Amino acid sequence: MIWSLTMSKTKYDRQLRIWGEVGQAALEEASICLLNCGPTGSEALKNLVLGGVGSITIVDGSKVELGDLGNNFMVDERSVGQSKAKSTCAFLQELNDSVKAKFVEESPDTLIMTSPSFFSQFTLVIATQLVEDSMVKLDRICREADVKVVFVRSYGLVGLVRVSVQEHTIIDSKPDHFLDDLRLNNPWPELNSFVETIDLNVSDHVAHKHIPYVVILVKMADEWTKSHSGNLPSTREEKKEFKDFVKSKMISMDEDNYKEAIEAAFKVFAPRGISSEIQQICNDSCAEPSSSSSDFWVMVAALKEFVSNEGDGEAPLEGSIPDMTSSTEHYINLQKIFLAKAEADFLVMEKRVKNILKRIDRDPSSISKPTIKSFCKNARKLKVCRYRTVEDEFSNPSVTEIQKCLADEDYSGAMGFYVLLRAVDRFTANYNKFPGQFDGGMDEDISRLKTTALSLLADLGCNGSVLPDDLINEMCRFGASELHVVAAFVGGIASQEVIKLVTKQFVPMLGTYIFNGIDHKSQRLLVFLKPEAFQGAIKAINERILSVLDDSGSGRVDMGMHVLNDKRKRVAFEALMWKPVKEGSSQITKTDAEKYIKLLRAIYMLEAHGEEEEITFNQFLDMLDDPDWGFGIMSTVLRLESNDRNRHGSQVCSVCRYPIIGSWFKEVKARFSLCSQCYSEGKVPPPFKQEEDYRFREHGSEAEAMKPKCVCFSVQSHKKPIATRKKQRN
Amino acid sequence: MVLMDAPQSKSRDLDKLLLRSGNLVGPGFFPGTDLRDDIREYVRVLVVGAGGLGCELLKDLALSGFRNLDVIDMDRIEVTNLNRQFLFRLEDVGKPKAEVAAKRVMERVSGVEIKPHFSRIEDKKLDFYNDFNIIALGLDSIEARRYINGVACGFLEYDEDDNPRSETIKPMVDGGTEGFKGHARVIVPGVTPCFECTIWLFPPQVKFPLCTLAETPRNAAHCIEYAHLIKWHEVHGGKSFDPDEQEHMKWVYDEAIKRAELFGIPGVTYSLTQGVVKNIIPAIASTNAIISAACALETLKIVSGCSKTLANYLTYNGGEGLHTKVTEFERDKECLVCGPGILIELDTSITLQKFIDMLEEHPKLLLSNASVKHGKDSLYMQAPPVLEEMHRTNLSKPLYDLMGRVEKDTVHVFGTALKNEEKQSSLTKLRVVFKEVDGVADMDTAILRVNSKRKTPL
Repeated sequence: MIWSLTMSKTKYDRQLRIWGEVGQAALEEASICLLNCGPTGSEALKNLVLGGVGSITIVDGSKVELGDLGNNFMVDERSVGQSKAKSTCAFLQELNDSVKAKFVEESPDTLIMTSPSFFSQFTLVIATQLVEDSMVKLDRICREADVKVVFVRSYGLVGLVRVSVQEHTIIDSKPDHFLDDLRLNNPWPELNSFVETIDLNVSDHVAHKHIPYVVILVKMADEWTKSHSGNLPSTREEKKEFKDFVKSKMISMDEDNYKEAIEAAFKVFAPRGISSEIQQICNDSCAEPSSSSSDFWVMVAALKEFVSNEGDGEAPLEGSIPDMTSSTEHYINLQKIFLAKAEADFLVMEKRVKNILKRIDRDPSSISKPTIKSFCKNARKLKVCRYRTVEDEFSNPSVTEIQKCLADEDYSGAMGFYVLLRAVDRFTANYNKFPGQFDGGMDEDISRLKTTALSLLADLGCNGSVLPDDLINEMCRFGASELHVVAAFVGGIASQEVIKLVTKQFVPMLGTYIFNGIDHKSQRLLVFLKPEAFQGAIKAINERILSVLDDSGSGRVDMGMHVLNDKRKRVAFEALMWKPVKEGSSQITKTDAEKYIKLLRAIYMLEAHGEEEEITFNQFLDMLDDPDWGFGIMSTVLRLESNDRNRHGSQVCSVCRYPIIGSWFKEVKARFSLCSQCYSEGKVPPPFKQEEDYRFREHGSEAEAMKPKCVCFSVQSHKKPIATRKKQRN
Repeated sequence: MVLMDAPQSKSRDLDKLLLRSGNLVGPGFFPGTDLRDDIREYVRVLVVGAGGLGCELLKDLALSGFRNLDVIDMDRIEVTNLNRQFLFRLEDVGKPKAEVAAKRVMERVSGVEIKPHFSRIEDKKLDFYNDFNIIALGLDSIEARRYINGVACGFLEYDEDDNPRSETIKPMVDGGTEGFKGHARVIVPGVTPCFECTIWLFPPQVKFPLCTLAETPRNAAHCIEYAHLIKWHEVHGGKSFDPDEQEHMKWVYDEAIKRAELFGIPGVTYSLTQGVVKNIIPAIASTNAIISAACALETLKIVSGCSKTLANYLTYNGGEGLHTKVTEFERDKECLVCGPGILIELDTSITLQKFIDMLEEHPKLLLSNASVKHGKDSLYMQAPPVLEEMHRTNLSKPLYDLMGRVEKDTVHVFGTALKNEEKQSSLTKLRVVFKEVDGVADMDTAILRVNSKRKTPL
């Protein structure tokens, strides 16, 4: 027994390093149902069986045909004529005998029609190759039974993946890029008293260069506030002055701790309190606990109380510190102080959770300590994902979204195939076959598919939109073929989504992913963002804009004057007037959010720099710091953008080494890249001097980006001497 | 439903793509049974690596119409492979990956021939690589990628207008994964950037300063690296550390624990010790499946033209939501590996000294104090003095002889060049062609003339 335990630990070692034993345990408890075991389904399931999912149940009523041998690895020549579910099940079982594998020889469509209760036994259903009608029905059944669904489809060179679940809440979202929780802008008494025990003016050089930057910054921020009527640095000048102040304490140029302090000075200026995203989660109607609340929302309710009481605006402390230049003793002591504060915060939270549980008539100890602890540690990273029903997506399409995408160069292919995937189902309902399924009558199928697609578009309310003939022709050429590699690709994505949903780690995708195997310009479509995430931020921005427009505080805006005199303010005004397209709806489209962000950019950029694309680094920062120019809302925009998860391949920031999310600033001459965070903090990479004037070009996510850096993965060799292949870890 | 059941073939689904004409296809796509049969009969694909990506690639290619596959891998199967390398079972642990992987795929997919090579990639002759139409890379190291890239680009030849000769192009597809992220790319040497053109894609590797390990350890990794990099050598002297030797790992772990206790540092575990020492990259089945599928699809497209080709780099990130992005990187025209280099025509009698003098005069080079390298051999080195002296005798010998009396080959020259009115050190690739060698050069020039004639506008 002990042997088999260590064996499975070794076997799963490479994934345990990603989702840990808690994640693995969740996976091993999960019961997964697969509908249809063609290559798409069997490949999706293969990845989960290898990872050690608890049990699988394969539903497929068909027999293995010769053609299946050409695209499905989970059948062989001896399987021809046999049940496909049975053959696939046997081959999948071979991959991992700790998985319970079962099969049901029945057509999924029939099962959906006749035995809806069948699905309630599962954690999650992977529904492959279903046509629209069955998708809608299955989705409805699973919503009611609180079973998660991942829809997957391969069709020629294209494919689709869509997650459907009422609500998915995540404590451990494992973001790539996240600021550490040091509270340099808001130190608590114990941290302050520890800092007081350390003398920055210590005469011993070795001791001086081993004072951790956390101590340096807390001390100097304290000194600063004493001489600045209690305020931390806020303007560009003050921030620079503060950094110079830190620099002035250096004894020699080789003091890494001081270099780190200057680099990290922005953490002193960072706004206090919880992010707008966490604020939105606290404001969610679910955060008013009732007896039916999930553990997550009970803990959110406790968090909300914590923030407005003991937390004084802050969430519980995370409790860990990054590695930094320091003597061992100082570092360990600092670590203990952070841990102690985190523990104290946890105890308060635990008490609050228990009280809430009592209040809603639940067992006060029904949420375990480790769960509350994990919640506290990740309180700044909580995520809530909600998905519309498939029926709602189909019957209440976002007309503007579809039209915008069809007209957009980057999205038209994906949206075209999205519409065509629905059109082929309609075609099938009418003609009892898929377009191009058989070799004869291709031309007729093409013209029929075209008619079908156009009438579908008209029904969706997109009368003016057209689909390129090339896409229609390709769709007929595909003839409902299920190519192994396309199946492996979209099946692979499906299994990733299943892992994220089951382990409740990482963040599952929103919207509908359309795989475009022709040029790989795949897209996620119909991504609706939580209005709460935006509306609060938008409101804050609008208030700022209004305060600038309404100089006199009259509560009114003189539109005429601004329109005539001030281009920038006109844009601001437009932004103020701007509303999401589907007002009153429970969702905001991604394109609307993008539009808003663009308007905001225009406000920053317009007047000072006219048509120029490039501004100097200092100009830009001055502009943002100026309460009149920048409205001081950069941080809000950054948050909006990070919600938007606007990425640049895997472009990495030259300063913080994190992948760049949101705006990407590329220095024109020296060609280093910064993320917006490091950019707004005025940082430059180590070899460059901070004092110089740099010119930056800002990139959105789109094609304008000149040469995005991407990271190649798995670059380390285990064949080479160890010392030559180290990379930093902490 | 009135349907005629057409006689089925194993290639039912693939036929739709290979037998039917399409609008969004690659240049030179000639759909039909000939195309399908040619792929089966004549196309040879080499899969480099039989690990997480390699296993998937073999399966994907075998189910994409390819029947002649080779796979090369020097590793043996380990228990930690089993969570993703789906062709291996517990009882296979210890056996060569290439052999087991080839056997399993052949058992399942009839008609496919997979030849395993349990070998280091460096141990194969160059001719071995030239036999394949396309190379699919499922590697986990930058060194191995560079090696294969160098080999594939080595086959590339340019015509006198610096255009690559299509028959010498050896395309590659390359994939890599880490956790929920990955990339897939297409490398067509001479057409799209090679591995070396975009070597900057790799993040710099940072080491812990030794003084931190020795004097001020702060976290578990510092204690582990102290045991591994410092203590091991102190205690074991010349005996080298082997990360695959369990006793060695255990020793490092025990020492790391001792050190952590000494300093009051928490967090040293055996698993972390392995992770830090072996620099383990977390890996899961799904990401490997996704990236390999993209690579196999591109292989099929390059070979058949049945659809457009990825241009030229796909990134995948499934950690926070799902993000895929295609980036079209540009070639480095002066790339020392895939670039054309500068064409220089020489008489066979030219000595190395004369050649070095010529470099100074050459308008495109203006290179002084040049050192000359031919493949791995240094022909002349300016410094250090010891090496200069060693190579000095070469200066009076004809370059033709020094280069092994071939009619044409590549040399690399390193020296000081004048660029933007500044003296800079410069490394350049040269294509040296010797005039009138055994008539071969004549024929070669004749072909070149025909080509260049065709290009002349009428």
